[in-house]
Amino acid sequence: MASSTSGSSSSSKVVKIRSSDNENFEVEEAAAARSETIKKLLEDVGDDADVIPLPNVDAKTLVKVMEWCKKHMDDVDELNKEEMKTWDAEFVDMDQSCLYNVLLAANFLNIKELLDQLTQKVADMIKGKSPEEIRATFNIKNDFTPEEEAEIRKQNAWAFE
Amino acid sequence: MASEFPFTVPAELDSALRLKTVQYLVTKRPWLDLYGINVRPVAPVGSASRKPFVDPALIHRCLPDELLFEVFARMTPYDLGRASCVCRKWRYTVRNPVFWRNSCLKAWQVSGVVENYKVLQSKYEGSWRKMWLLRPRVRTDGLYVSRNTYIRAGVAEWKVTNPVHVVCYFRYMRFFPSGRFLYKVRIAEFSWCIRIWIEDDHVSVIDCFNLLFNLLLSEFISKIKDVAKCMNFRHLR
Repeated sequence: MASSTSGSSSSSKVVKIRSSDNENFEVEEAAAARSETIKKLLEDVGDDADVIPLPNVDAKTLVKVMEWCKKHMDDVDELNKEEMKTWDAEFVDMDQSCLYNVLLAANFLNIKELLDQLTQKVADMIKGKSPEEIRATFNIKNDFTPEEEAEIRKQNAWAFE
Repeated sequence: MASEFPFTVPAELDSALRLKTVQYLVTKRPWLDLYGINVRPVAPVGSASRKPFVDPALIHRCLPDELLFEVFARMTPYDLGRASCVCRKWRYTVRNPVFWRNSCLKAWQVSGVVENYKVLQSKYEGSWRKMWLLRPRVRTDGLYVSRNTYIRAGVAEWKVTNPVHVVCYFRYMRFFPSGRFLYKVRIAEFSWCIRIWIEDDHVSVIDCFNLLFNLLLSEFISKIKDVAKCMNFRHLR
């Protein structure tokens, strides 16, 4: 570990992050370190880190991700668990394009817990729906031929019980 | 020539090291730019399929297959079965044996992992999906209802024939993957609930069964979080 003699180390260190559309963000290190990717980078470069560029996360998405990281910065005690749960539920309640962008960012930044919550959200959108309802929800084109569809519906009839 | 180097290196050593770490951040890593971009095979010029293909589904355009996999990994086998009827891409994804292995190991967790692998090899040709489809199992996502009746002799005064009572009761059973189960005997039939189930659409079914579960089990156990929807409600009458 290189010792820092610059005297800039205060109680809460700040990390600078740059989004793909060149917006700079300042985030507390503890929050940014929720991301394994950023954490590794910070460990590698030590105190020399200037600005961390994230070439595939845009500003809008990064704001969302950092909002989550800040909220989840500290370990949650039993008392706040319920409150945190409702906060998380509200957090993942966003429109599809936003949801997928944050999901991609969480995957890239390697934030496991956030990734879990978001994939669970998408899974919940599929849960309990018929194929027709799923197609309507996600705007998926039915690319089966009628014969194929009949066949696959027959194969999976058990799932419709 | 050789004598020039020893002079220059120590002076630059420090800054070179600094440079290295800076480079680590600034270095172009082109593969990172490709993240999340789907590359499609290009059809030959003049081919009918050369017109640009845009998948109307945002989820397909945005999410790489690995993330679709992660989503599917969080679904129940019944949801997976329905999902495979949505489109070719989904059918292909759902074929992944990992999902079926997880479903099987969960459904028959009482037998233990080793035993399940043995059964898989001996009876289902190593196919987890086949095992899921063919091996008998107790459903854990619903409520079993058994309707029982018996006849009890009644008493009436000043009559030659004795009246009888037909007594009817219901036994509700809920099984858990762990092998635990709950049961409750009730006189009540919850017919209001069943009627809604038959007449109404899917969503309200889930709501009404959650309600039913809660009603039934709240007397039993104070805290049940995993009250799932009921699908295999054996009907009566």
